[in-house]
Amino acid sequence: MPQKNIQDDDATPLAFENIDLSDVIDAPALQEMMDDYFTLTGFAFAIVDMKGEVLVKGGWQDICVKFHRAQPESCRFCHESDTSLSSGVAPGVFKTYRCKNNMWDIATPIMLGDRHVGNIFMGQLMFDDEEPDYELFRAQARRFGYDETAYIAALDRVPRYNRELVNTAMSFCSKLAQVISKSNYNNIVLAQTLTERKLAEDALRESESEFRSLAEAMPQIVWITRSDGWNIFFNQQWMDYTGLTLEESYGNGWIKPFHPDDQQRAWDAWQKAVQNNGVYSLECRLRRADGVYKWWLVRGVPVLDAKGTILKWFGTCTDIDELKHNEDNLQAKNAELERFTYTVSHDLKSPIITIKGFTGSLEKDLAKGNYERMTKDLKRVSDAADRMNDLLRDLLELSTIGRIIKTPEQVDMNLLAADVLAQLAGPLMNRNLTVAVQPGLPEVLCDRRRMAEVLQNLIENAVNYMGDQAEPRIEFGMREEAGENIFFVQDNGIGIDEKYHRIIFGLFNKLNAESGGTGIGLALVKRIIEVHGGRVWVVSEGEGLGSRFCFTIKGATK
Amino acid sequence: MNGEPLTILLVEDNPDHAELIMRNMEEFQVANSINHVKDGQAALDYLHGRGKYADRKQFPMPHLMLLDLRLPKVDGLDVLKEVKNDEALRALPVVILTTSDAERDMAMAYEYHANSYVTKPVNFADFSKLLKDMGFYWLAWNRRPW
Repeated sequence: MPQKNIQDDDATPLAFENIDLSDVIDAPALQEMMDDYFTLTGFAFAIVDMKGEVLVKGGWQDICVKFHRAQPESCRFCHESDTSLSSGVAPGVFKTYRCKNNMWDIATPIMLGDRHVGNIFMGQLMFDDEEPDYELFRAQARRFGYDETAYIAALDRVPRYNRELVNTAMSFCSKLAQVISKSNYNNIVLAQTLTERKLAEDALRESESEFRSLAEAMPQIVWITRSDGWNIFFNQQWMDYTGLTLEESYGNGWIKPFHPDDQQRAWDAWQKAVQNNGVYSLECRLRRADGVYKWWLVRGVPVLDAKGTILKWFGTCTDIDELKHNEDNLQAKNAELERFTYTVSHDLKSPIITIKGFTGSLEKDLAKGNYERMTKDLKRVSDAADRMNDLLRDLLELSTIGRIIKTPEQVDMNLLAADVLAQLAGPLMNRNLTVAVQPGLPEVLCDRRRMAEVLQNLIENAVNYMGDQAEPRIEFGMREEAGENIFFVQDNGIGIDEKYHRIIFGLFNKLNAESGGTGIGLALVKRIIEVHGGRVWVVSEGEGLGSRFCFTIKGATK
Repeated sequence: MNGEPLTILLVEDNPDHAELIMRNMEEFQVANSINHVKDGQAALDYLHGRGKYADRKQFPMPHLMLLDLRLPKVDGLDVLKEVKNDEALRALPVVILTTSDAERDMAMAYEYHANSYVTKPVNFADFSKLLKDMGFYWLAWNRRPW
């Protein structure tokens, strides 16, 4: 008589370990129904859970209620019978057994999914085709201390049933158990499904709101596009930066702020990422609301379905403008440093070769008694030592610029020029040179000592590159161009070919090997002027036509 | 070897170093003449016979060029590059004679097909021996088809 097990149903088996039979059956309703059943059949019955708890019962005999279950030891037998003797019965099947108190019981299991949660019992009863073993029951009465006469009377009151009738009744109970099991199981599955769906919906709503909060909390721009790049989400940061509205940005609108020079690169990187289902990563310039372009790192990650097809792209744009500029500055600084150490080692080694070379030559000449060129060679040695000294001094000077800049003060440029010319009086007099200074120059907010160095270097430069000019002339002045004060040091010396106009400001660059100087002067001037927020450049019509070194200073006032 | 006067073109911006080199070269009499120019532009003008170097009698094509690297106007490496890219000039042996022992300079020099790379020794005796050996090697031992 095995029936179809409810486990075979389509419903997904769920974990029911925390549910007891009492949780899922409506005990009072079942009690009413079973009372009717008892009235109809006269069969005693019980629904008992796995702990031996009786949930529904009817028609129980005095022998059970007043004797077996009333005495502790025999009551223990009842519980043991209810739980252990009734176990191991397949769903849809019933088992007939003698309980430990020697009454007939019939049990069929109630399942919840694949878990055995209780039993329906019928009994206790006696069959009409067998005579009760009165000796056995008398012995039981003595063992448990029952009133023997009353006990046997109770035994005689236990109904005797026809086996076939009992089987039919039990078959009914078994089917009832199946119905209880299945409907309860389905109800629970349904309830759980509904609960889970609600939880999932809640979780989705919560995660969506969390996503939005997170997207807005991030300092980056956050975006989502469809697989074809059609934008469906931007956070507020995008609107704030680009000045575009959401409507302007959705769809293909996001391409608008990309720098024209970066659009091709952005497109290529996009194509590559789409082909490889890879991460999209690009450094590019995006236009700010005020029209200024800044560097951003645009990064997108594809969301794939089970087949690996791209569903969406999730992405961010991170502001790397400062990083980018620092990187550029660092690269420039590194290049300069490399050049610096290289040149320093070269320029310091050069005079050593001269000194060692000529002292070696001097020794030889001395041994030979060849004195004619000794004076000249000694001067070469001495000059080389002087050059090393100059180089070290200038390097030290250069290394302090950019690090040490004193609090700027108002400096009268005419007074400054007078000071510088006083310092240069010696070299100027030697060359029979005078420097004309334009009267009424403005005051300038600057580091006085540094500005004096600028002027000194420019004038020295003019002196050094004067050439064979018969009427050497140097002028320091200022003119106003396009609302800007431009200071200049003008000479009528050898001039500079246009192709060298930039490199002369490079560190250690010298156009003439035999001219004095270390190749640091103009680099020093450039650095000081730039620290003061100004520019420096040279104007020259070419070789032989003189030069005009010009510079501006941010703090120049009338 | 074939009786033609042997000429060295010395490209050196440091006048003291030029003096030391020429003094040693003259002492060992490795060449008949040494012509000295002070920057890269002058070196190229000389080799191309341009401007004031137009007279080949006074400024004959050299048999060896000693080339310093850090030079005013046109850098030594640029001179080297131009010489080795010029079909008419590329056979000229170019020895880089420099203060720089920077690996990058050395690598670049060979990249541009320098024939040799030598750093100026600090020690005077070594300096003398180098110039003597180098002069004899390139002008006496070394064979050339022209």
